[in-house]
Amino acid sequence: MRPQSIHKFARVTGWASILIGLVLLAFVVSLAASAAEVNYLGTLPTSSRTVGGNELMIGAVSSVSNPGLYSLQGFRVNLHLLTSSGVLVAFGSSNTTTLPARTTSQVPLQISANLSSPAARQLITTNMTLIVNGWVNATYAALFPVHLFLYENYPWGAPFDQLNYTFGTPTPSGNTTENLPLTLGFRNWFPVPDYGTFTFSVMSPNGTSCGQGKLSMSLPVSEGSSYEGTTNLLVNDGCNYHGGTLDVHYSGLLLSLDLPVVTIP
Amino acid sequence: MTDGSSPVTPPRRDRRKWPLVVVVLVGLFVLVGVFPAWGVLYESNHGMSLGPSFVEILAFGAIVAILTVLVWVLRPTPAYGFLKVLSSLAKIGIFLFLGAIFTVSDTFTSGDAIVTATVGSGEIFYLLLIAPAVGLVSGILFIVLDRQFPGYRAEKEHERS
Repeated sequence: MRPQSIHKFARVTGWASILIGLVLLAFVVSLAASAAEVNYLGTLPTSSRTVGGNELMIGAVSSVSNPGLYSLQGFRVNLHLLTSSGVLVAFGSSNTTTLPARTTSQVPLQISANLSSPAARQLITTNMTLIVNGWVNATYAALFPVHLFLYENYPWGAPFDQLNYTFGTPTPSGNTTENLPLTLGFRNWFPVPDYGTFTFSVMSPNGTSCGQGKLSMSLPVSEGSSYEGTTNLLVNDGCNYHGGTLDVHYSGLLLSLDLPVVTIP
Repeated sequence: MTDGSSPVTPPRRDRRKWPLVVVVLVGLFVLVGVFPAWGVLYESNHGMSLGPSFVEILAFGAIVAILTVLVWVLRPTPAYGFLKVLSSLAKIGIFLFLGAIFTVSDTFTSGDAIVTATVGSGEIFYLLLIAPAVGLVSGILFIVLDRQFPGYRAEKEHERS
């Protein structure tokens, strides 16, 4: 190889190294400035609540402001809801998505609770403070892995808080049946109105069906409103329901679930 | 032509250059050592952990500044290629080290939530490796040139200046 060529190539690579260094430095500075502007605005539950079968679904939205020059790719939020004693009652995640540059994005996620677990069932009838543990994974500018861990307390409002039943004195109704008055009371803390029907089944201690009843109601719109309604359960004469159970099922537009079984005094 | 072991630039010119060398050295040290080290210190005082310590950054800045200035000052000598290779290797070593340990970690509140953020920023240094890697190639070529054609570069660069 001729000395001119080696010399030229050596000089060119020398200048290239300086130029590349400066370009990369400019990129790094713009990256750091853009990354510093990214702001995780938090995850808030929406008013979306549904219960179907044994699953309670809670809607939530994570908000992220990304006013910088680079996108956040592979953005995914995972949330766990735990009781104050640390028992997992619900979990959920968002889809994996890309948050474009110069935008504020709302990422929806669905949190579900399996109501067959006793701890999760408390969500239906008991207000409590839940612990929210969240993980956010993303990649900034297609280069840098970002991990966020969130810890937050979340006040949970149950749809049938302070659920209580009061049985009245039975009165004869026809030759073979009697009316058993039942008053149902609770407070609704769900942020959505609902309309539905309670269906009651009266069972004897040995498990035979003694009677039934229904109560239709409209759940108040405002959170924390109390509701009280009375109905007459039609029970068969001679069927001993004392010490038996009352099975309660609620079926509404949004919620459809079995409520805790009640022992009849 | 030289024998390949002595500087080709006139000594008088070298003497005039020294104040400038000191200014460049100090300026470069402030740029690549003091500023980044101050940044690390500032962030750690504000609860953010970055990985490398203040002293490490300052030491790396001093190494880079000294080697860069040495490369510049000794450009007319046959040591230039070796120093360029040494400087590039030192930068590669520093970037690899920083790439392995550099992580931005911070805890802050967002609304009612406590958020702990970790950004794996080491990749930024792996990206920066491109520059010294190209510089390394350049240094090797200068070594080859000075070995195979002693005096050629000195003559050419003296002509140019």
